Amino acid sequence: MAEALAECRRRIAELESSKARLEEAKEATGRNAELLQHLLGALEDVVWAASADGTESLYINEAAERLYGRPRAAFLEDPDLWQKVVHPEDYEQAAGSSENLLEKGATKVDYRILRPDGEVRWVRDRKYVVYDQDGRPLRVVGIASDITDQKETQEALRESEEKARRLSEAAFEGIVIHEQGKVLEVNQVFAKMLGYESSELIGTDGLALLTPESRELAAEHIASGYEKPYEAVMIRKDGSRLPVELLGKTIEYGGRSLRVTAIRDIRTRKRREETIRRQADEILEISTPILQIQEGVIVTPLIGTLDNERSQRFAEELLTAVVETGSEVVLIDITGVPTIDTVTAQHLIETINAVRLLGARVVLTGVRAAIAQSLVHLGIDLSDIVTRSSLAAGLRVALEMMAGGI
Amino acid sequence: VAAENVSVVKVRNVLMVTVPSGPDDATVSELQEQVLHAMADHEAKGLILDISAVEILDSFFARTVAETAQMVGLMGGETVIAGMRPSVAITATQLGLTLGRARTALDVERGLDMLGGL
Repeated sequence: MAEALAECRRRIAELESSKARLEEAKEATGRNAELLQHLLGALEDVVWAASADGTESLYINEAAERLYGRPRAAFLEDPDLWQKVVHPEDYEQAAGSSENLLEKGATKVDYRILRPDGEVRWVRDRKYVVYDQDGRPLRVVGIASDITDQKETQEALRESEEKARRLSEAAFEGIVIHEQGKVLEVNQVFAKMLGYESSELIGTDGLALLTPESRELAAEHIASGYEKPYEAVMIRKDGSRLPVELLGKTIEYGGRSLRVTAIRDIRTRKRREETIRRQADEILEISTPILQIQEGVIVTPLIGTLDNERSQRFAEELLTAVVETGSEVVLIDITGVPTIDTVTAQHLIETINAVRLLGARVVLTGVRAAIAQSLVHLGIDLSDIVTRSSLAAGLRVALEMMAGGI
Repeated sequence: VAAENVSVVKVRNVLMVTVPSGPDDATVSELQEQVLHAMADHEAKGLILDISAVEILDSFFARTVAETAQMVGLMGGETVIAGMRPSVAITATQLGLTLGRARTALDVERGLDMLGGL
């Protein structure tokens, strides 16, 4: 009996100690659950759990009230509420997040929601399936993050890029953005100029669009960061050449050295330049006629001033005429020269000396009073050249020379 | 460098020399040498240098010609440079090259006329 009693006491003590342990464990579990609650409540993102079939809401944290602007209880009562608050335009995307979720195991979708206060927020919705030990779906958990700020920044960036693109499309010039020659971006104008589609040019070597000579120049300018306009020749898709004016500017962007180049078609300008040059040539020719007035005597009336280029041409033509006609006397008439300065005089003297080297003699005529005065005042010595005031007087001298007089 | 062969021809009492198209310094010096010897040998009254083949005139050539004309003058003769090309004449004046007291003629024929008229 005493033994049985002792056994009973021992059992009671055992039970009491195990009860205490149980209490302790219960308390610890409660503390852990509380800690978890605190953590979930402190999260900015919405965290929730639902039954695997989606018909029962099991849990949702405080963040839901901040993001959706609705009480947590509403979500727990209505498992489909999250879908009802989706922005009508994004309904399809949102529905896609729970479609075939059990097969896929996880989904991630961005969409907009409408809050009761009318505000629109962007939400990134991630859903995961939790499985039991046998691999059967146990429940579904999810995280919903507010990505409104991120989306707005992206949208602003897209808009500013779109604006820049439209601006470059509106430009009359071709525009290319490249990095060490590699094309990153072109506008329509540029692509059209060369007969390509924009997409054909992006990623290619922009320097390959230039003729070899221009390529060298452009490469030098890129290397030195040259920022003034220069002319070059580009090769169109059909192989034809296109004269252009290039104006590049180097910009540092995100640690990269990008170059923005504006390209202008200068065919019209080139044609005009060519016309002007040809007309100038014609004027030069017209202004210095060379006339043979008698066997062995030629006359050339000079009109206008003699600059370097004209003087060179004049000398060449006059000397050629002397040789071709075998003329021994050349009359240069300067009646049509308005004023004479040291440069014009120097050119004249050089031409006269060159004619003399050929073996012909020169008479300078048309030395009017004003010209005589400026020649003396400028200290130009023409004493070894035969000069006369009028062409008529010069002609008489020439004829005397031919007759073997002087 | 061997000098190109330069031949001095005497027509009546005038010496005639045809200068090759691109005379080098040695040829030019040789030319002067031969001309002076011929002057002494023939007591010619003049020299005609036909430079119609010459395409480039350098300062050495111009100076030698001017010197030769001066030497020929001292020996009692007159020098005529004949047939200079227009391009050569223009280059010569631009470089400021002169031929000293040598006279010029359009071609050899006119050069002969000049000397014949003496």
